[in-house]
Amino acid sequence: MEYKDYYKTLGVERSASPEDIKKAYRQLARKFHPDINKDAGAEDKFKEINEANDVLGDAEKRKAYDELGQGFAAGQNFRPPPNWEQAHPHTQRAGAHHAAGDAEFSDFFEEVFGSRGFRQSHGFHRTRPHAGTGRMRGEDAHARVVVSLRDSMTGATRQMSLRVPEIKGDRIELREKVLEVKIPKGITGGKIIRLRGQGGPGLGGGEPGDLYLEVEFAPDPLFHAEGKNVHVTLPVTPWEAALGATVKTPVPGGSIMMRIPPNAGDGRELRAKGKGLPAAEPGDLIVRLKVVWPPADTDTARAAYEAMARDIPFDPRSGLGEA
Amino acid sequence: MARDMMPETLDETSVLTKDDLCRVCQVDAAWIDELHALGVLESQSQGRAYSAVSIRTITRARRLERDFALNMPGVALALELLDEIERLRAEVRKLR
Repeated sequence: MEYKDYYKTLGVERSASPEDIKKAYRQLARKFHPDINKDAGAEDKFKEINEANDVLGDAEKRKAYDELGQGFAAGQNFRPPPNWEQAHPHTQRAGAHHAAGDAEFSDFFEEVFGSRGFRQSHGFHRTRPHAGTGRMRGEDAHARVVVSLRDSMTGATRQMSLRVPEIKGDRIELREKVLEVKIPKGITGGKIIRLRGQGGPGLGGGEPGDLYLEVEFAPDPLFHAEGKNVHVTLPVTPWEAALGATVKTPVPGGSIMMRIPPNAGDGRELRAKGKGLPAAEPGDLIVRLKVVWPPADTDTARAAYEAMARDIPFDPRSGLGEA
Repeated sequence: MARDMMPETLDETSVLTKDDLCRVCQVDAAWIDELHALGVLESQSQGRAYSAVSIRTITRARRLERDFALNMPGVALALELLDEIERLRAEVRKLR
């Protein structure tokens, strides 16, 4: 297992004050929080920052980590000392667990601080009364699933690895669980997929909780989905836009021939009904024309531009008033 | 590996009671009332029922509150600004 240098993660000195650590954490969180930063990789980075803060932001845990960390460098192979658990019995303290998908910590953290004990519930409010008595329904779990436009067009299957709490005797342990999740055809961003019974386990014969997957669309290089409608920008020549034409236009999963009416200007939006995402009433494809001018880099092109300049009386600045 | 689970898709037309929402998002009813009072959540039947997409709003609100130590008006402001940024980014992508 790799040793984690939490000081390096937060970019602070080993001698940093609690205030410095809090400040560094807040600054990094603002930058990498997955609700703010949608870049791929931001979520993993934030998990590391969160884990580092969980340890260094807590005086007791920081002390234990410092004792342990003498002589280790980040990434180095790590084994906790043999007497670690005896020396730090609080690592075995029973405590709250995290819901799947919420603040998963590294193997290094689990090894050093235990998956229960040290780990504090700074997560969701606990609303369930009388823990441990009678039948109790399992906790609902949450995760995010990023799908592509193609997934939505055809439907897809996605393997997801989640950490879910599991009851072992009188203890709760986190267990890695791999789920094969069907992404329904026609799914759109902002929707929620519910998988019944795939959340936390129930207690005393209680039902398991459900798993809620919040759907996010991955950016596509060509298309932009808005609900079930799909937007695309279509480059056209000046003569296609001016005279009208029928041109090949990409649609999700293929192409269509699209008729461009004469005098369709730059930015004009055309609609291909039913060519968006699948649904009972399928979405539309909204095609935005972008007129692209050929460079005047040959005699022929230059002559054509000169002919236009000479023969077409046209002043696009007539609305700007007298200069 | 668990297979062949029937996924259910929830959207703005799926309705959850406030109790359901509390359980699913693991928050107190008073906390939901506060978000509702701040205009972040739109309710049905005077705050007793909510659309399922509220789950996303609530879990985001909860993370922002926790990770940035925000108070509720701060959470409401952050959510509004984040939504506006998302909308503007979508607009930019469409115009490119």
